[in-house]
Amino acid sequence: MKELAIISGKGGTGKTSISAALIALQKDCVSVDCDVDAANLYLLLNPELKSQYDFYHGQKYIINSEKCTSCGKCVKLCKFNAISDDFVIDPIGCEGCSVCAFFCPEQAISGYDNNCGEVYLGEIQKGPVVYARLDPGEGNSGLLVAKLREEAKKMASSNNLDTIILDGPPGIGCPVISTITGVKLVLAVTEPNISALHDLKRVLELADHFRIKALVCINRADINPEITSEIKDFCRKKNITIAGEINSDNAFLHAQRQGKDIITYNGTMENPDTINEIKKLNEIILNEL
Amino acid sequence: MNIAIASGKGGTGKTTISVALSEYITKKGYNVVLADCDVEEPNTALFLNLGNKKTETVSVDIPKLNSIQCIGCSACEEICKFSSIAMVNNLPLIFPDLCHSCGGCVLVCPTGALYYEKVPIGIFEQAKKGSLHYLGGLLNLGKIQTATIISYVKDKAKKIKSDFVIFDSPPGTSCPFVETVNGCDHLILVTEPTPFGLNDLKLSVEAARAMNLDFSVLINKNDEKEKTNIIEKFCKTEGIHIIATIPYEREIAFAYSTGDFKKTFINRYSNELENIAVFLKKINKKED
Amino acid sequence: MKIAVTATGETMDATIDPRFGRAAGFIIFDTSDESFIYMGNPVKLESVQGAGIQTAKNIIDSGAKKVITGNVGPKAFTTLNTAGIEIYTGASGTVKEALKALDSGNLEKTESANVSGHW
Repeated sequence: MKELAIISGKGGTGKTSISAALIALQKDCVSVDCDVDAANLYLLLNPELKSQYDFYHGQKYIINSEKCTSCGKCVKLCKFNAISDDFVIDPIGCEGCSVCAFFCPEQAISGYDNNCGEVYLGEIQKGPVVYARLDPGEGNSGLLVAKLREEAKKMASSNNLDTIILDGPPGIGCPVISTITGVKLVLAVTEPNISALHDLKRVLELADHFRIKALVCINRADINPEITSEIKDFCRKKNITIAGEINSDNAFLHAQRQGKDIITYNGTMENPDTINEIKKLNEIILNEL
Repeated sequence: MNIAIASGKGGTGKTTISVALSEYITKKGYNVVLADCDVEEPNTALFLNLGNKKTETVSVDIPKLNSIQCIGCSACEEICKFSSIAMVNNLPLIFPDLCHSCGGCVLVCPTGALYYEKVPIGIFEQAKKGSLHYLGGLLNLGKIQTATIISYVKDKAKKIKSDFVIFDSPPGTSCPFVETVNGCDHLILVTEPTPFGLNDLKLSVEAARAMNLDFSVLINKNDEKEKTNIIEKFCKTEGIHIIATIPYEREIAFAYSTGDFKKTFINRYSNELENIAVFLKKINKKED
Repeated sequence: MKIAVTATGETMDATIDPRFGRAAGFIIFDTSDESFIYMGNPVKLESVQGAGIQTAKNIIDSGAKKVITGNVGPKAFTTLNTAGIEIYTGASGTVKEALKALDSGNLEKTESANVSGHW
């Protein structure tokens, strides 16, 4: 199974737009939106929803006020400051460690299964689409991403597909790690400004830490040609291939407004090279996979 | 007054606004703390021309085993909800990467064979420039304790005497965002007038309401030529106050890309920044 | 001595499962009388965290002293290693072929995990 993960470090560089374009260029594949915090890929893929289910992980705890004698032991023991002075457990702050319940002298605290989001299984012409919604405030994004990846592998197996494309979240934390572990290739999408370059370095180091090969694509390269050069120099020194260089193009926004990826959009491009550049990017990726 | 600046979608301009607003308010003579809570990818400092920063290590408590005292009772494995302890050969095998530092295993151990060891997960840093006090954190690569460092930064912010604290939040609506914005006096949700921007704004609004936070929306990178602004429409329907609208200008985008945008931005948008400052002062007075 | 081999099916002709933590099941082969049993892996795909550790513990309980698999992740590796179980990765083909390869010294003992974990 060949998995490609598209990440960026800094948010807003164009991961989802490029992911959707790459998906449109595949013969077939499984598409996964690993940005469970703020899933956007479905807005461009428009999958037909086939099934969905609640995602549960771990427990949250609740105090039975009738049994509670206000001894305060739970408040003292809670490492996450999730219990108020009037003995109410904040479900957003609660990490589900069970320590309060274990030590409550009145057995007044009990656990309940934590519904932290929903998993959606959909379909487009290219193949299955797996995405999710993590409930606001939840701390299980990495685990939900891992769940989506397992579903994607199941889908790939049962549909005889060998390519999985993962649209990743921003950052370098838990959900990003969950997105990239074990993938064959990482594509880091960046743009020419000092924040994005700073974050690109971190994200490439992360890929290296997990011993995964990475390619870089510079989006909106024309905004600052000097920094575009700087990115290229950096990648050259690290032996990292610049697999794509795409200039700003309003067409991306028009396509997004129409709920289409840039390839399917097939409308007037500000820049005639954009589509070819994306096709070239795809060729390089397929070669690596 | 504690102000948080957040966004569901990444790249909408949180840091731009945080930096510009901090600078603008300090110029008015106030003491401002600018806390960068995007500890996975902190960028604020790149725009501030700070001198040397003072750093501290941030650690978490991870259990360690004194095997001689262990009697193999498995109480630690049983209480651990995070699969970080596995009994092998009658001794607990600890997996630090999965540990949430809840304290359970150390508390239940009947012989005291488990004790805490401090394991570094990142750093905290700070620097002062005139009446602007910068605080930030950086999570070590491969670590997952984002919220711990954010909490550390927030605790430090509390200890500094200031008129305004501006918390620059990480993107998204999950744990790191919640940790950052929790307890703030006012939350500004920065968005852009695109379908992605609207989609993610709706998620942020849901989160803000679930947390009972006072919030408003700032529309950034606005396309003045577009007749219907989908964000304005949404805010009108939901009764959400729009604190400012800032147009997209390629010149500003270029200035931002070089890291040297403060002067240009503040000059160009002084009206908008003034409106924001006035609005914030108004809410602050109301709460007094 | 018992040897655990990851397996996609219940017989000696089943192919090796490339995964360890979420392997479909294991063939536990006893070298003393060349008998074997099939052990399904209850650690399902649904288990999002600690799958490798739990599977490793099940293998320890089975009495196997060696494990043959395609891949093994870091937590499963640490657990098996701590229990003194030898791990052989990079195996492919059928269970029967893998055992033969081990016997003729064609499989190398692994000193560390060869894939990163999924959690």
